[in-house]
Amino acid sequence: MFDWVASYSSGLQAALWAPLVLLVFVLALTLTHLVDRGSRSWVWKVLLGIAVLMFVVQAPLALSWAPAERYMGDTGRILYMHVPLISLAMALLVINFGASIAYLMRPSMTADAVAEASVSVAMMYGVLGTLLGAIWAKPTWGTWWTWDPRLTTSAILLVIYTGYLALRRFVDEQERRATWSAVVGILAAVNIPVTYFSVRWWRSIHQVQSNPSTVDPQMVMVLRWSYTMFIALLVVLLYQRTLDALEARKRESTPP
Amino acid sequence: MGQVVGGWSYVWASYAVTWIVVLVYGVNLYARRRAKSP
Amino acid sequence: MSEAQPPVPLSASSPPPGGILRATLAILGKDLLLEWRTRARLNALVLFSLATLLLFSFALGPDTAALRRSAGGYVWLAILFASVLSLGESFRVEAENMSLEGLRLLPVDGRALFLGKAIGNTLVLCAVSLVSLPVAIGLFDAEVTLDAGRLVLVMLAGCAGVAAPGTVYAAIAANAKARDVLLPLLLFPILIPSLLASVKATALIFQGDAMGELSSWLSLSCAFDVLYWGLGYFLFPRILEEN
Repeated sequence: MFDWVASYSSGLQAALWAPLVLLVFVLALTLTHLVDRGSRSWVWKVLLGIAVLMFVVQAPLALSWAPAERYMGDTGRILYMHVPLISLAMALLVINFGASIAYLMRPSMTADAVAEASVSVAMMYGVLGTLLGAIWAKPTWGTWWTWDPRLTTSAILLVIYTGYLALRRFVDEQERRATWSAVVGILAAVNIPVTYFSVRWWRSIHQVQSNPSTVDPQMVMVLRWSYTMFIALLVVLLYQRTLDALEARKRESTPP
Repeated sequence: MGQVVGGWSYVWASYAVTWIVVLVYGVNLYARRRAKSP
Repeated sequence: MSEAQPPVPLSASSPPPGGILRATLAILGKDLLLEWRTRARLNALVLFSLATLLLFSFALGPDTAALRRSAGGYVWLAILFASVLSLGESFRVEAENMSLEGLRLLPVDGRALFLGKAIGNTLVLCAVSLVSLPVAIGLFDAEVTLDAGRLVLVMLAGCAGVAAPGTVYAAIAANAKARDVLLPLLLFPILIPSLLASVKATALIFQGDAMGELSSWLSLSCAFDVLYWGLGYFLFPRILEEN
């Protein structure tokens, strides 16, 4: 279905740098959003538009333009989504760690809202990424799941933060909920480096992080494209989810 | 080591799952924001 | 409690180190005395862990080789299940008599409260393991092939690893909804690194340590302890804050 893409191959080769340019653009927009309050009404819409366009273009790029992997064959195309989703989920959990510390140092609705939103989006990215990992594993490792260090620690991480979200549901008073969630968030965050470094610390069948210089340039490009698109989406979702959390808190505090 | 041949059904499945999950989460969030903000 | 008198806040800055130690020992002493006077709780915990071990040996059938290999795991599962009961109880007593409020009104340092409670919980779990080990050795046909000193270290490090985050989460769960569900939900995943290290180390002690791995598992368990006792020490006062 995507054979026609190959005829544009030389042009696309030159566009190897496009993802990095786009990434810089996305990060610049994110910075604008953080710094300039006035821009917040439109920046997220621009980012959403970019993300949607990138998603649409990513499909032919990953499914046709990128070569098949040497050992995994075409199943390697799943990794263009699995890898960014998992890394960004962990990045979001680090954001939660920061927001938890920020809340304990200076309590504010915003810090608590960011803490809740970051875990919410992290869980979506993380569960989706894990699901894609399992779908990838079946044809390549021969099994949907195995209890090796990387998968085990990742599963633990997902359960830990599910507990975090459960805690939020079970406490009604706003400040108490925020304080306790912050404490639990800090205790939980210890497991993020444990999961990230698990492939290095223990012998695992999961791949260690690759060095870009050893990977085919077309694959690098598609991976960078995928990362950028998921980052753009992340900013939009985190922003909107934070606003949603903030509104919920304001509604809670105003007397009926 | 030989190459894994085919497996396209897994690839299509993963793309479908991704798009569906992202859309469901996004639409749900959008609906919540629409309902709350004036 | 008179409303006119504002509660003395649990201050983290004023008491000198000697004060924290004294307060810790006072809280620990009170809890241990209560435990000793009403030995019912401790007896119930011990019986519960024994029943758990028995159930495991029934559930897994007569394959003695398999039982022997997994004996370490069963011991720690029994301790884990007992911990949920004992941790939950340690704060329920306070909550029921409103004595958490009372403790909060006294100028008791939250950090001393954490240390006192956590040490108390560690000791209770050590008592449970003291009884569980001989029973497990009997039921699963295990034997202590390495020296008892290292076994004591492994059990102590492991119980301390369960008690520290357990104390923090028990205090939270005691005051939240669905408290009986919340404690295990929060605690169990966090404990997995410590539990893994304890189980591996215990299994090595039961089956012999040909490759000298015991020290690395013991280090993991101790590192976990240092980390979570440290975090608990500094964060626990925030749990008790009144708004």
